[in-house]
Amino acid sequence: MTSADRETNHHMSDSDIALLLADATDEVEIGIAPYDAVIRGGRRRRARRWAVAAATALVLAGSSATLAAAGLPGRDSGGEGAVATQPPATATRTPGVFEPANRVTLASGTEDGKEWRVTIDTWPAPVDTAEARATLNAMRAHGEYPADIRKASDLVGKVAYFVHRDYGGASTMVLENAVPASDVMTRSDITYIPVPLDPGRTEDIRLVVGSVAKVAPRVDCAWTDGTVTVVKRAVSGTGTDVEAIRQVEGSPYAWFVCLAPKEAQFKSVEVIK
Amino acid sequence: MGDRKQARDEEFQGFVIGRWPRLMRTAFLLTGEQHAAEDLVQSTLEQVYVAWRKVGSADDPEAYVRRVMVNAHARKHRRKLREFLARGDDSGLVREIADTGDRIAQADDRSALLKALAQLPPRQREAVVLRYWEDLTETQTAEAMGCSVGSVKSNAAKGIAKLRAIPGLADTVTQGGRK
Repeated sequence: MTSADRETNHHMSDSDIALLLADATDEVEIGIAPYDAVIRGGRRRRARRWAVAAATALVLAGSSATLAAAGLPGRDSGGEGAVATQPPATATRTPGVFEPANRVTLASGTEDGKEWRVTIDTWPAPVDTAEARATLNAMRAHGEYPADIRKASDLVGKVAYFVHRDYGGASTMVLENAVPASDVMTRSDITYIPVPLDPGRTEDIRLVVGSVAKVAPRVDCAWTDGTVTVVKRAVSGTGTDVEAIRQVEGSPYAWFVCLAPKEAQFKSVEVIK
Repeated sequence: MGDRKQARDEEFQGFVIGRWPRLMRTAFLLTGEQHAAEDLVQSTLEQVYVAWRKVGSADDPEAYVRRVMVNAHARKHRRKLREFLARGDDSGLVREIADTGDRIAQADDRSALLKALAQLPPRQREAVVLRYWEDLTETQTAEAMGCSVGSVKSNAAKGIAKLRAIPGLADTVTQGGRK
């Protein structure tokens, strides 16, 4: 009997499907584990990680105060109740001129003495392949790369974003994508991902990060203890310790973050029109 | 120090060789294709190698490996972000499983199942494979997929419903399985 049977008390066909899946795996040729190739690949990955770290350090050393304030991965500052990081004012886009990512803090707080923060890096849409190439190189130096972009031309006209969750000093990317700069969500659309606040407590899914239409007025996050967090549009001066729907310059969507009370977990989320 | 590193390397080698067959089978169900499965397992193990010092001493290295593999699989499919995320509906994303009668009729359950599995949205496929092949609990599956238990339930239920819709499979099921 499978755990699926035990938990859900489905009819017997759950076991049959498990058997059929097991049978289907006979189609694959197992072969010999390519241990040497795995080691070579692992060493390459490790070297690349060091190279990225070195490149990031170089960018930090040579950057202006504005760039440092905008924040690079793992270098965000501020604590409880910090005011939203404002993206640097971006003027009209100049073709061929690369612009770095804007980093905006979507939410922040402190729990059990540990600071947490959710940030989004938004990379402007390159206007041509040369600019896309420069953008991708800069992304790599930041330790970011959109998974679906195989060649520079794929990025032309697309905004790339990377959402990070920092908890107790550890930063994890929880969401990334490259989308057409002209993309528009409808008023009821919502895209979200529930994740643990503390990466060490993977069963504790309390944090929800998502995007909605820029005109969406309200998002309700429901938790397993029956409570609901109402998230409304941020107004001028709304701190990042307040859950709010925030406009992020350069993003075709608005963004929100909500956090379940302790002992509760994610249940559902919806846009309230 | 050198001895410790050597011991760690040997431990990792044992892990790779020992887990390779099972990981290949899981990856095959996730990807539906031999070479894609090999790539997925190899890149998963490369990432595990980088973190082996931590992973090897963890209580449950299997859970870590599963998480890495499912993440790697999910990343491949982020082009359709709405498919990847728990969006609540998958309209427009699921192609109908129905096929010409001849093909299904002549195909055995195995190929029908693999075909249907390949047509599931990635999150449903992951939920079905982890629950019914890996035999993980809903909580373990949620952990591997980085989502809520509710999302696992929903994705697994939708996926299984589609698999049950395969004509050949339905016959097999009503007869109590193939073996």
